[in-house]
Amino acid sequence: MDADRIRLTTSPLDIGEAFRCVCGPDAGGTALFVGTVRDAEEGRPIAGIAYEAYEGMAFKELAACAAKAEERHGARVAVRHRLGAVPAGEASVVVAAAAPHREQAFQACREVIDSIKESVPIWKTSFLPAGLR
Amino acid sequence: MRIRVLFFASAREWAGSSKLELELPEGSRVQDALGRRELSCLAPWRSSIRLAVNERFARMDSPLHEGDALAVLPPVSGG
Repeated sequence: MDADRIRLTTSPLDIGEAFRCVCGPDAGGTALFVGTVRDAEEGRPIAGIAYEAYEGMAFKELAACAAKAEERHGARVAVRHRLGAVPAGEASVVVAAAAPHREQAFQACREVIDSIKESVPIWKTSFLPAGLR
Repeated sequence: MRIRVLFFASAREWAGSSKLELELPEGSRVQDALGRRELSCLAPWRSSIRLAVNERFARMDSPLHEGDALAVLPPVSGG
C-alpha cells in the first residue's frame, strides 16, 4: 500500500486531495465519505470537537481497515483523519475508495468508515464556544 | 521485567496520569498487569476498556515482555 494513502493531520482536510490519491482511468467509480463535525451534541450547541489519537497504533489500524477493504473489493482506499480541535462544520475524516465499478467503491468506502469507528484508537471530546460553560 | 503503561482519553483521568512504569514478574500477562495495585484505578472500567501491547490489540492472556508498552484504551470515538 502506498504510504500516503493513510494520513493523520492537524491541518484542515482537503477532500479533492483524497480523491486524487485514489482515482485513475482504471477506476470507474470513486466513493467519498466525509465526516463533518456537527454544531450540536445531544441537543446542546458545541463549537467543535477535539480528537486525540494513540498515533502509532491509529495509523496501523487505519492502514489495516483500508487494506482489508482494498482486498475484499479490489479498491484503492485513502483515509485522512484530522486530530486536534476541529471547528463545527469542518471535516474530521475523509475516506476515498476507487474501484472499477461503483458497487465495489461504495462497499469499500462504507466498510472503511464503519471499521474506523469500531477499532481505531482515536477519541473525541466536544468543546464549547469561548466564554460559555 | 519493566513495562510502560499508557493511558488515553478518559483513562488518563482515571489514572491521574498519562503513563506509568510497572515492574512485573517474568512471564506476566496483560491480566497480571491489570491486577496490580498501581492499576486498581481501572477496576470500575475493566469491562469497557481494550488493551494494546506495542500498538496491537491484545487479550487478557497476551504475554508481556521487558520494555513492552501496554496501552489502556477506553471505547473509541473517532471517524
